[in-house]
Amino acid sequence: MFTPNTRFLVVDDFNTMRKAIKKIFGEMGYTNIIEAADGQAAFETLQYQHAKGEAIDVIISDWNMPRMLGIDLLKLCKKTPEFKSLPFVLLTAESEQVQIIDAVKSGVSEYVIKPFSPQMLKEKLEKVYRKHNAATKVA
Amino acid sequence: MSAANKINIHHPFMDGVIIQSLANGVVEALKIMVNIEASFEKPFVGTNWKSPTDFSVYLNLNSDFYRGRIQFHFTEMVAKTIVEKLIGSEVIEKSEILDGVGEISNIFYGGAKTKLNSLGLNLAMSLPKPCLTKDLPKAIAETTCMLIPFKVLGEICYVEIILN
Repeated sequence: MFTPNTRFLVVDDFNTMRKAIKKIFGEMGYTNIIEAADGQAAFETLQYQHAKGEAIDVIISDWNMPRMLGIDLLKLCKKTPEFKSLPFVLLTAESEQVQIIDAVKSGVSEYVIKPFSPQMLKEKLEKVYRKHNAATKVA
Repeated sequence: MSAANKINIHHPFMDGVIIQSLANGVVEALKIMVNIEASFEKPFVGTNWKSPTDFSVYLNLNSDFYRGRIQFHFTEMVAKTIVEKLIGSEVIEKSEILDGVGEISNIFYGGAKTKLNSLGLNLAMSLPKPCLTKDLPKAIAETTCMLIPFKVLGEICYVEIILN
């Protein structure tokens, strides 16, 4: 799995969901978690962290948020050279096929449908790690 | 409000599949996210109905066919328990409870919306707006609504549908 000092960016407009994810990640041994309340704030955080030499390693983002949707954050990251290879997990209550296809075409690493249990999130994160690890080895 | 859109027993929102989709969205979310059991009671049509609860969340219903609002109503004990189970610690501030019921209602709606859209309703995405029940802004058409009560932790909460 990811190393304990992996830096996660958790993006959700609801503080409760950010806390819930932090709790689950904490149980997995990950405590290096930075939060943002929407896609726009998340992109600014990505740039800020990159500039100060403490780059984000993995993005976990909600889909439905004000100012900038999670899917638009994903597309923006994929267009930005510094962030295009970052593992990106979309968490969403939206599970319609058209949205899943959009996310997959846009390069999402994994798609987690709410409601999810802590175990489901852990399993998705393990899949993301395996994919990312394989991609890094190929590169 | 046109007579054609008024909720009555012939209205599509009184369809058993639709009611079941909404109920399943709530039951599954509570079971999976916070391991709380919920059971639904008989739905009914309310006239000038006022929720007896403490916290509410409203989402706009926008589709090709219908416009209105879906509202979730929670008692304080139920709302507080759900949020505390989600985050794993005690909540004291009302603002924390409001944030938490907003998120769980978003999940309730998301699950139901997926099912309803597969039936051709074409509901658009909507951002949930939580508030104290007493501060709930008036919907355009508030005389008639459909109510689906659900029992959770021994108390009654409600799903309410208002169509314009």
